[in-house]
Amino acid sequence: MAETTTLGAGAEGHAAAAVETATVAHVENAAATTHAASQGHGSGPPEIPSGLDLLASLPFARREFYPFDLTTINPRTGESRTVQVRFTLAEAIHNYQNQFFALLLVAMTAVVLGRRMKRASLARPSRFQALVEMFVETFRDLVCGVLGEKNGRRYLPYVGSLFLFILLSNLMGIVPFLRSPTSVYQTTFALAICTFLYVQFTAVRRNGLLRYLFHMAGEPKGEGLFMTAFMWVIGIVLLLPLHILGELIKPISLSLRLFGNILGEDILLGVFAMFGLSLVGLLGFEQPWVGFPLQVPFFFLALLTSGVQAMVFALLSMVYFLMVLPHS
Amino acid sequence: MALDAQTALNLVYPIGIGIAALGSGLGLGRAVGAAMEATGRQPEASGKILVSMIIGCAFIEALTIYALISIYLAK
Repeated sequence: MAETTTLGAGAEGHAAAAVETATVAHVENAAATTHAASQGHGSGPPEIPSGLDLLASLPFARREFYPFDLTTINPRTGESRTVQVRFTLAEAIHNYQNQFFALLLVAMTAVVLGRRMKRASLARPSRFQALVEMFVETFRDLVCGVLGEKNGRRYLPYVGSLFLFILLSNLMGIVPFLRSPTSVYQTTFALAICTFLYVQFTAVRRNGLLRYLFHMAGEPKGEGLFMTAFMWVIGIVLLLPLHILGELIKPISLSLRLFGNILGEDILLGVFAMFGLSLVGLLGFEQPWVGFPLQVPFFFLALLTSGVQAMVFALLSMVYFLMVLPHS
Repeated sequence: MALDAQTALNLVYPIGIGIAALGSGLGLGRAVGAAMEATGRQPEASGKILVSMIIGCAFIEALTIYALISIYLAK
């Protein structure tokens, strides 16, 4: 628990190194409520608290909101149980903060891009438009190189949006008061499920359901009647479950890879931030809320990992599309 | 010291992660070695080889990450 206390102060250390504004009362609130909040759901891996965590540490968030008693009556036996339902705004903020950051990212991107798109012109592109066009052209070349010209143009919007969303989400973990939405399993699982459903839908739509199942059963064709029957049996009993399992494992591996890498990066930054704080304490200074910014060298590793993981996710999605599209 | 399930898990997890890291080290060593060899043969293709190597390394690294993640799933 002492870890989380210094980690509440660690936000101030991180912020003080970057922003140089902190007050002692704020630190005490942050420390006390990170302590209290962590008691609510156990001590997890150390991460740098985000802006919403700091918001949740303010006094107004520790108020309970309309605590009520929930009485359930078992209709068969007639016994009733009463449960006191109480939650604090701090817990709600803490539980939903990653979704908030995801929504914030999407909203900001939509607003910025939407407004700029209205002023896009072919003759005199602005700098922002040139930048976006450069990104789109590079990605279009990559996608069309993998999927072919026609299919590449068709699936470029999805893969491009996926790449951009994951890249920006990963990079949000490095910015001081933000946290990356992909550092929780919910976001990455949602992305992987989107890819999985789109790929399966494409497979069934392009190939037909029966042909797709035939392909998953290993395409049983034999010379004579016995060989054909044998291959059919082998196909349906052995190969079909194996292929279905292989298809099901794809979203799990996609999501776990992205989640593990980004959470690992966040934990790395958090651990080194904590180490920087404890180093200040070891050297004998008294203020616990200023620390050496030891996690700054790892920002570059985080940049590399963010880019690579976004690239890998998008590339794997492209490869899954390639495998289900008709090979022409 | 009573050897219940949680204690046994806490004892064995670092060994498991170590073995996963060992496998990842071997695999990555082979991948990067092959990339270096390919760059030696054709230095002008080094950009493409670098990109392919990075992507391949991400796949190999993911296996170690699965082992690391299993801690947070089990606790």
